[in-house]
Amino acid sequence: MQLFQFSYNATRIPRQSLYCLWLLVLGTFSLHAQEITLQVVTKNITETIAYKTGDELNIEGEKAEVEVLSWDKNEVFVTMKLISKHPERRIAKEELEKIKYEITREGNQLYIRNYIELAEGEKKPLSNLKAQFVVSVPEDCPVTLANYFGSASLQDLNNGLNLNSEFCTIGLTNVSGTIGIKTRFGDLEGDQIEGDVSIEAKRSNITLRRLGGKFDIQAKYGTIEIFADQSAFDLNIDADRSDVYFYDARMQDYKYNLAAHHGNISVPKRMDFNFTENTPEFKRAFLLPKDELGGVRVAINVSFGDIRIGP
Amino acid sequence: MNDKNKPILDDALSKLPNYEPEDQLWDKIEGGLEARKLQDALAKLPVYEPEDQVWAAIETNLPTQGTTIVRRLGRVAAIAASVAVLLVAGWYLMGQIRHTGETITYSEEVIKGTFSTAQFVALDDDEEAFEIIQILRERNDPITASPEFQSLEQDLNELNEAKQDLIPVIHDYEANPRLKIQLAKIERERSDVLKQIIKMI
Repeated sequence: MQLFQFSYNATRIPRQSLYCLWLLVLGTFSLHAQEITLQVVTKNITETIAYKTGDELNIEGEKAEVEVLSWDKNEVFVTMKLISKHPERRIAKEELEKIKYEITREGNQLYIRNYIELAEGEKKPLSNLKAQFVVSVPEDCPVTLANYFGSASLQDLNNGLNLNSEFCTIGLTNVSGTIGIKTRFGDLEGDQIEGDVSIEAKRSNITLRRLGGKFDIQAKYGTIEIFADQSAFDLNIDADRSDVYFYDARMQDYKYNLAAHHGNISVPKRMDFNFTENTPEFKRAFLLPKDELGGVRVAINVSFGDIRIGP
Repeated sequence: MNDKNKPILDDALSKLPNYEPEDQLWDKIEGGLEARKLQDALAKLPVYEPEDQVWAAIETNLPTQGTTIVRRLGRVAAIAASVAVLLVAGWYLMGQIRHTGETITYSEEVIKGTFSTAQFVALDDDEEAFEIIQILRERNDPITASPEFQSLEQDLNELNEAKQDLIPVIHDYEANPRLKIQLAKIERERSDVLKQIIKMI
């Protein structure tokens, strides 16, 4: 009866008012999430470069999503997409010409590059311009990558990597050799990284899992998380205005040397750390494992940040 | 009828002006005809390749030493040239870049625009607050000599630079807000640094 009464009352609401109410609701939604249909014009390029041992690959990207992975052919295969997006197809197509690319060889150096070319004084393009590369390389090909305002994903490379990026997220999986990474305003995630590794990170967060070899990490303004997974390595972290977290299922197997200037050191209670300094300005803590693994050392030095060992 | 008109026609013809082409023109026509004749004749000529023995016989009858040296040098040069060609070809094949193609494709993408880049950048209408650094510098305030101030100022400069790098890159037609989030983070960090500087005053 009550339901009938309600529906009876509803029919009495003037139809125009209902329309107004509906428009108001629609308008409110459209203010928050207005849908835009973009015309996407893509230039697709594929190139194959013959590879011989000793060749080195250099990639330079601008607003590029770069993916480098290994394959079993003795060639470097490049699939590149240059993309322009704008609500008007004509503008998107015209401005696509502003993204340039180069795939060249100079001696044993292979170069893959994209850039956005604007004439002097030319305004920023109206279209959203970007590039996507997928580069397949023999696994022993050394790679140097520079990327700005994009992303970089590299996997299954065993002959070293040199990476320099800004405003770029980086993902590394199964990479070994001599590895140098410089990142500014871009987060780094690595899994199965092994070799002689040096990382210089500024305003970037670093997360590393399953490490092997020698690691030297210099960081400023960021968070560093290490999930060691009983890997044997020598880890040295020097962090300024950054927090460092170190985890492993067998925390007690490592040899620790920790120092915090104007920061805290927190360790699991069950681990018998020796605090040789413990003032608000400076803390220093050591731990030598009972079953010492050869050369497995964790040295962490932090200024204006905290060190946390274990969960 | 014909006989009647013939004198009139002859008379009219005799009155027509007479033109004689220059001698060079006849020469040119003749030359062209000769050249074509020559080409036709050459095309029709049969091709004969002497057998190897003929060359060998000629070679054995060539007496002078000087010629032999020249011919040997020629052979060495030919071998060297062949090797060079092979090397260049090999090098080219080793390092070649095979361009498979370039195609243009069209598609559509629907994104949800929250607010425009212009609105996003316009949000920082408190920018004049950062002029305090400049004012402190101009009046040579003692705190500007402290290492802490200098370190904060350096941080702020770096953040300002990053902000200026990002603004031209963030775009309305970008589904992924990563760079906008990054810019927001930079703005928060700039504010934190400014607050720390103001505390020092």
